[in-house]
Amino acid sequence: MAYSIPADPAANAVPDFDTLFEQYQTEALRAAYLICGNRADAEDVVQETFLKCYQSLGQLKDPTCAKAWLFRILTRTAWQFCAKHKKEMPVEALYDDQAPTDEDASAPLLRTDRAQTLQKALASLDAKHRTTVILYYYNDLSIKEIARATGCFEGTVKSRLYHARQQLKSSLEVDFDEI
Amino acid sequence: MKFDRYMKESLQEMTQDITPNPMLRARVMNAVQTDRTKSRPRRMRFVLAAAAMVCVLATGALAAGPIVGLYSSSTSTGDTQKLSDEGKMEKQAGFSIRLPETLGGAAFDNMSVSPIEARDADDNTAYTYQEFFAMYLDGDTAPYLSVFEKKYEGPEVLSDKTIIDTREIDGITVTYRTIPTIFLPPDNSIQPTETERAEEARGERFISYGTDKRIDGLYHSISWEQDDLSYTIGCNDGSWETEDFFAAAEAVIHTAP
Repeated sequence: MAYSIPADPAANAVPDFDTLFEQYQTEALRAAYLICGNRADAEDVVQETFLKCYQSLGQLKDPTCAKAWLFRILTRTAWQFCAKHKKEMPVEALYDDQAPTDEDASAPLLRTDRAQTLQKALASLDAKHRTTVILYYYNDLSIKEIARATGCFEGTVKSRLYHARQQLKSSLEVDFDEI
Repeated sequence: MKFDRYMKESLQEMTQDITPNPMLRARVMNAVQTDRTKSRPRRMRFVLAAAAMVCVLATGALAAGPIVGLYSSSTSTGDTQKLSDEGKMEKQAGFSIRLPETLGGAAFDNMSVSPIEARDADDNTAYTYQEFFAMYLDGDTAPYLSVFEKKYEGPEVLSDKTIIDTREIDGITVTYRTIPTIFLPPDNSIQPTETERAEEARGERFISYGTDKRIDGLYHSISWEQDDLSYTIGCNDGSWETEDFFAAAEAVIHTAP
């Protein structure tokens, strides 16, 4: 017998500010950290981002676009911070607050080394290429969503991603499996 | 390893220890609160004089008529989170400030100085003065300290019905009020009732615009005059009681300038 599941009206509702904050604060902070290169700036960016979200939440009509909308605001805010401060993050500062784990002693060292290597490679990209890479690989946004977030054409996103990949592969000095 | 997998895993590793500090939420809510606070209708402050005021602007045009609004300029000094910047703030403001590190149970968060424009009905700026703001945080309560020169204080427009208590602290009269507030969307999609409008006209309620839905709250204000300055500790909602506000006022009064 066929039946239908009634649609949940709440599922189609634009999230309220508190829900938006709780759902995305961690991801937003980590993305801002990757873009800006330091925690202090990342927290400022996230604070400013959520303030702007609060002020303009009425403009968000499609709940399925909430993440892309939020990361559009975050991206612009992060770029403004990067342009204003133009700071390079010391790689060592990344790891000051890393907690020890119970794993084999060599395991965290290996992970740290890989992360350090990537951090140096990311720092060599300009802000727009770095942001494109982060939104794609870390935030799992689609090309279309990245285009909306960064205010450019999808073709530009693809181009930035291509060039960023080439530069990173060259910087990382790792033998990657070919498809 | 494939490049895509390498990137995803490595980026996760780089950020696995980055978790939001509980203060981050407080900072965001404080910024939201500040935004709401600065969008509230200000008390009408007039230089005590005739109802009509005429002054010559820099351009030579005349600003005529009574002051109908006070507006914060967006070109403030910018927030600073360092108490050690107090000297810079005082220089900008043009006066010395009694600024405690803590306000009752609330910790200092940031401060700024904003130019305030007094405008007439034709939107001409009659005069400008500097107002100092310091924001504090105590859990869900975010009190702010506002200071400006007493000469810009005008007749009280709030009803006496809003007064909760008045006390003397070291010979200084300190008055604590609570004022019901309504924040409404700016597109006029939601209107206050006639009763609420009448309460606003009598100085018993604040109505402000800029939220995406109607938000009812309670604005707390404790104020006094000291050193020819007008001090106010204000707060939207929060969990502070009357005694918390008087303790905060006392902390400021007893802080050396």
